[in-house]
Amino acid sequence: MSSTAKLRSIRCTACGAPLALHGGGHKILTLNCQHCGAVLDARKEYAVLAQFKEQQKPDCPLDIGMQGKLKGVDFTIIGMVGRFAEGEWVDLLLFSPTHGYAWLSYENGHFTFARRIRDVPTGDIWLLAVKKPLYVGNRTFKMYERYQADITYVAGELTWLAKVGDSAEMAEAIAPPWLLSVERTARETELYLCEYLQPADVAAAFQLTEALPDRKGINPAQPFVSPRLEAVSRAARPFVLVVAVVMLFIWLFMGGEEVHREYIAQPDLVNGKVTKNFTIHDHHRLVEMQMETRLNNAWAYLDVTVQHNKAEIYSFGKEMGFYSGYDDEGYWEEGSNTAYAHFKVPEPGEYTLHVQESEGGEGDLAEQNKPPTALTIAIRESYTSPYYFVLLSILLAVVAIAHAVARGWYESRRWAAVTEDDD
Amino acid sequence: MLNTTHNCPQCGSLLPLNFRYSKLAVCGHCSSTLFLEDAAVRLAGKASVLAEMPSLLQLQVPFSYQGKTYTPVGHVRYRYQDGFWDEWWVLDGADGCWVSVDEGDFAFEIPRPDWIHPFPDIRTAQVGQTVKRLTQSWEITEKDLCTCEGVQGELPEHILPGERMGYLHLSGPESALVTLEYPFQGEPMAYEGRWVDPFEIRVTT
Repeated sequence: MSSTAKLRSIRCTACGAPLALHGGGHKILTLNCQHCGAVLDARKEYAVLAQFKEQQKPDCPLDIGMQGKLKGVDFTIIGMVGRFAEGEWVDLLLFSPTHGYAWLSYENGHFTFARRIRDVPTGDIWLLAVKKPLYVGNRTFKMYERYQADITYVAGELTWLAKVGDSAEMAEAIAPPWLLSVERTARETELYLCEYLQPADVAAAFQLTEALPDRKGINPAQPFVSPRLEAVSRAARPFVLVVAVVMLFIWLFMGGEEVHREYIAQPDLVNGKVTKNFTIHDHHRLVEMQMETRLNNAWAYLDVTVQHNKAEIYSFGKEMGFYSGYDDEGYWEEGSNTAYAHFKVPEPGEYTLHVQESEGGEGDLAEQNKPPTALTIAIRESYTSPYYFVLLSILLAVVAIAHAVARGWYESRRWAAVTEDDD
Repeated sequence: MLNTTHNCPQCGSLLPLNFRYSKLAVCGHCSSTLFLEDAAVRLAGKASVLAEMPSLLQLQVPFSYQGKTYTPVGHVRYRYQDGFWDEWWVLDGADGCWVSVDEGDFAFEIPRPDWIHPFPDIRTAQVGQTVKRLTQSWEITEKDLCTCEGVQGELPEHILPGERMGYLHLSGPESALVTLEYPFQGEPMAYEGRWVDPFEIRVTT
């Protein structure tokens, strides 16, 4: 390095204030005075190109001169551009001696990191409908929105002549956390590949000490991130399978052993009938009683009493009904001729049932007119109910899909703004 | 480490500067922004060596891009109107290509002497015009003069410090790029390639 190297200070040629240059490279075209709004030509002795007085500096937790490491690269914030479309946001121009220029955008508490790319999209982003695919490089984006953005504030070093009031047409397509941003001015069209950054990562990168404002809304590039729910949902998935296998095993192999089957004719059922004795050997496990009627467009209420040594130990009622017919949409049916009851007995031994059709109705009138039906009863002992496993499987299934459901709800919110506009 | 003992021209405070990588500093006392004028140029001009500037690529330090590993074996720096850019001759096994680096704009190019005949006349060529080759139109996106500042390592061509040439950059579809070089002495040459994303370049450390 030459010892005769010259040092030169830079002051605004319009107002004389010291200018905070932060080391942008040779592509810097303008230097924008934060004090008086003068736009200075960085290549022509900082001649004043324009001046925008009374600029309102937008709110932003980062400022020109800050340094931070993003994507493993050291960057310095050298310029700031405030923009307005439906809301206001800030584009911060970053410079790295090794990676050149990039943008860090801040809007409603959200950050995106953007760099220029020179790929050509397959498809016209200016004509695509919302959610239609757009292919750029090896990424597939979905069309999001188009809008016009106006510059409201300029400060620091910039690679182009930016003026307050300048407008650009913007188009965005997304593949969270990626966003393709296309900016079209009268002079050129530029593509930027943006990536959503978590605010905590930006705060750490720039060593911000003050808490960042809370994020508002969902940024188009913001990925759905819910690690805990995702972990819980993922953990639940194998258990859904395990419970399904257990349920299948119970259904196939633990249905118990039939110990009695009896047919009760219609008159006996109306008058009440005591069944023949049947023996329950294992009183620790459930007894299943299956009842099968022959109701047709009718219902019946059955009173059932379990008896042991001629004493009543358990009774219950069961309403059954079966209806079918044809209408405009074809055949229909509802109800069932089959019902089940489960109970335990106090001790091993012989038992009987008393069964009686106490109420019923027939046809459309469904009056108190006991319909003719016979009943077949089947008793199984050592029965294992899959009931709790069914409940558990439903619970696990809900947990397993909770992450996907939450993601779907999140995506619907993400797209709501642009799909409503589209409608 | 190249330390100096400059004093701030505004307030006279001692500036603990290290100009090895930066051309700029802010005085800690009066906040004046200071920069070093053309230091890199002078160093290169005196010694015909390349001033050490921050660079993702380094001689003999392999890097990978899209699954391939390249090793820079030669380095040329060109100065042009806006500043300078670097050209690296990198080897991928027995094959070589040029990697052009200008403030984060990276392009891979290979020599294509027969890319176009006759070469467009650089004297009349203008930025924004199109150059037709076969059925493809290429837009002239840059036209400038440059001077070789220095060379390092092994190069596939005779390139000497001080050599001057004109050049055109042509942009095509899918990040395609063609550079047409017009040496002041010698035949024009074409290089074809494409822009690449520096964030996809991984330097092996």
